[in-house]
Amino acid sequence: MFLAKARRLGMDDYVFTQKDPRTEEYEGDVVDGVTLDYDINAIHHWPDGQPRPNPQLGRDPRNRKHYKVFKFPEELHAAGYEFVHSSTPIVASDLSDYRGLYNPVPEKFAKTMSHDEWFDYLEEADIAAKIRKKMSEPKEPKRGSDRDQIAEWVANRHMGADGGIHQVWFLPSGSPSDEIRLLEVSERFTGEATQIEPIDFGLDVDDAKYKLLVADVSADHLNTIRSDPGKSLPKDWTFDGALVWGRRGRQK
Amino acid sequence: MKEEQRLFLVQAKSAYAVYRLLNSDKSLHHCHALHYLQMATELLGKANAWKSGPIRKSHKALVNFLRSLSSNTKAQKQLGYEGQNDNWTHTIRKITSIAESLQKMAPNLAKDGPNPEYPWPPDSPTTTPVEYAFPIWEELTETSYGRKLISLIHKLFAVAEEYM
Repeated sequence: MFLAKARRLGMDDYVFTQKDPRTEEYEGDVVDGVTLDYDINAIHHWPDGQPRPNPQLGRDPRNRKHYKVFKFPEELHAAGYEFVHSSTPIVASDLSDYRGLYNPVPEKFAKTMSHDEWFDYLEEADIAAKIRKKMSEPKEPKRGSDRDQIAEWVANRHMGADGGIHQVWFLPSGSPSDEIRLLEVSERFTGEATQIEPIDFGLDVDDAKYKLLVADVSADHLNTIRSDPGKSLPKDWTFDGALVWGRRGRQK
Repeated sequence: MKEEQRLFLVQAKSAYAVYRLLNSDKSLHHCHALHYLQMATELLGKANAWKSGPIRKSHKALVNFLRSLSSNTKAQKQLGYEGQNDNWTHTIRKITSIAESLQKMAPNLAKDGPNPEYPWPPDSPTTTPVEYAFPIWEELTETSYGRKLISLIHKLFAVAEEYM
């Protein structure tokens, strides 16, 4: 049996398969030779008046390839298992089977929707991103924060405001001390122009004033630019000393 | 280009230059740049609208202008979207919704809501532009599609004469 961790709608699925996922173009980590103890009927049985099942996936510390689903966290602790995941795993004959049942929705939609349906779907995602942004605005940097801290705050705001932006590169080397240069990576609304064209805005954070220069690039375009920065980056811009943030924090 | 179009276009270009000036001055409140961006784009839209004859007194010229671009292959090519029909259609569609918010910044359209010029609501003001964080400004500056609208406006000003 094989174990693969798949992402679906921002969450992890622990998928146990009979067929090796790597034979189906799966590029993530795969653990082979695993065993799983999962009595589905018993785990999900909920008699009247009894506590609602709260299944968790655990791993045997004495045999790290053996996994077991427990009905309650207390049972997992009592058995001395390591906690792996706060939900039940998915068991499928192969990854195609899993994808058929639990296909990552955006991927499926991208393949099957009409042009208008797809863009309506993206629009809904953008509207949801605005709601999310209001719920979790990053805290404004404290007075006296340095440029790196302010750049990180801007990067987080932009990733929160636009669900399409998944990575932000801050290129401080060689820039004036009151200037913040960002490359924002998104697969939407980005061109493939040889020379990137940053847009400039004023930025005033608690009386600290900066010139903010932002250029939008796709991931492929970023790779092209990085292979020959002198050809594509504006004059005096460099990747030396770049700081990179993703949605889960600093990456470089 | 008709003379009426030229008149609107030179005024639009001048307003756009003021927007760039205000935007580059970090000591100024964003409402002033927003005000001039709204005016410049309204004038640009009206310059285009005069192509078909006299225009009404409306502040909605920008969105109509952008919509007309979606089927303008010359503009599509000039603005860097040659051979990318889906991308072009999607971009115009997306930025049109922000453009609608931008044109609603005109006080006549904003009515009792936020506008970058006067305290509101007009009859009993409770908020003033310099003390207000405009969501439209955040969307223009913090999202890739907002910046795409600004970038497109910039390019439109650069090549406006060629398709008016």
